Amino acid sequence: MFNVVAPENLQIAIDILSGENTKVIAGGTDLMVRVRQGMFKPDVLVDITRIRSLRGIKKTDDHIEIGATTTHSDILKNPDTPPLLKEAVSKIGSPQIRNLGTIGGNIVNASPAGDTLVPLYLYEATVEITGKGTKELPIEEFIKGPGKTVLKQGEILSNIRIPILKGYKHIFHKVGERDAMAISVASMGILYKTDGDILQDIRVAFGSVYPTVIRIKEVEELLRNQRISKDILIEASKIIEKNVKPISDVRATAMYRKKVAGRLIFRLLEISR
Amino acid sequence: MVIKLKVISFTINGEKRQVTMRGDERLIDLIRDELKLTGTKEGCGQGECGACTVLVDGKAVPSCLMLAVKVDGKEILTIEGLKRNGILHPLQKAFIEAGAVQCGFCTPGMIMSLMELLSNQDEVTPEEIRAHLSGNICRCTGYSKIIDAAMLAHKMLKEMRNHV
Repeated sequence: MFNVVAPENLQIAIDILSGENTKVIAGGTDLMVRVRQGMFKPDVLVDITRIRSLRGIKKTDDHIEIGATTTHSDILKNPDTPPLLKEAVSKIGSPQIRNLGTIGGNIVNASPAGDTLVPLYLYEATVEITGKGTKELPIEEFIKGPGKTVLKQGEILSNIRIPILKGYKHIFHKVGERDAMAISVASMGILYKTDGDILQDIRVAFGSVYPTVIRIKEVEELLRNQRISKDILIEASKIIEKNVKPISDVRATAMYRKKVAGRLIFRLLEISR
Repeated sequence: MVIKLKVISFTINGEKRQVTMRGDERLIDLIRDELKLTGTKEGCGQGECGACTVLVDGKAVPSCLMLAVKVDGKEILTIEGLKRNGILHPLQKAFIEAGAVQCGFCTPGMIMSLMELLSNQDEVTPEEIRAHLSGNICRCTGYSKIIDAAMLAHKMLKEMRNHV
């Protein structure tokens, strides 16, 4: 049993969260399941979805800012949402889950399979932490490992800032048992920019094949300023298999994940067609 | 720890209500146990099956994943709220007409998900219906008839709109 408080003011929420055995609840799509399974026994849940300043999408000259409690549905509907993020969010859960679940929740869960994390790593997003003061960190430094972030008691993730990249196209591929409600077995996101048939710039990241989402810079360097061919992708595929460190679980074996990750890069062939 | 009861006010199926709930009770507990509206079903209790779908402020949500106290000040619509003056909603009529009800357990959730889609879109394709029902499972696997019913309801709703 636990109590729930729903402050409308961010500072009040943070004061309450400094207390012992308190935890943030936003959409609750993951937390409710864990609490009911008894994996977690909070005394107080702080519902932060009534804090207006934490919700909504703003566009500045060079950034998109997304409040932590903005739901996946709101992100999908917003014309300013970066295209790769939009595609990844469209693969989260189901329409009902997307109506409740929030981007901040997806980040703070720090799952290696977190669907929003692949795009956020690729866009090199930063996150704002609010506690006694505020600080901003690159997403890669915010996430420490499976389920682990740098957040301390009395701090919350308040805002996400995504740099606007002009002229980039994207690929997103999620491998799972079905389209809806699947936790990915492996996923890949790519942001790229072409000049004729040359890859002028490319960023590549994978989900579910490493303790965190992982960008593979060695592959990016190999492919930058190159023409896409089967041969170069075979080479890229080997580098990917070497860099990923998947685990075996109920969804797939480590070996399967490694092979799938290596094969996903061949999706790049479609841009040379 | 002292468990505090919380008084919450909301509108359900057009009616204003005020109840006292514990913090750890869910929206489905409020709907089924407190208000005795048992049309809404609980399937998996983990947001996977969609059987418990209701609308909160017009949005389809799994009521098993939402804390009851979160609906304070909000508007809820359950399957019981679709009927108007004793007449079934076009979605309910369409489910009967198309033979889209087998065991019936998933039906309220299916209909509430479709309410969200059809209330917000003038035109809809079978593909959009399938995508929108991706969070609703029918273990009788009667999906084709459900899609037929949704298309039929869409047609009925469109005709009603054109007559107004």
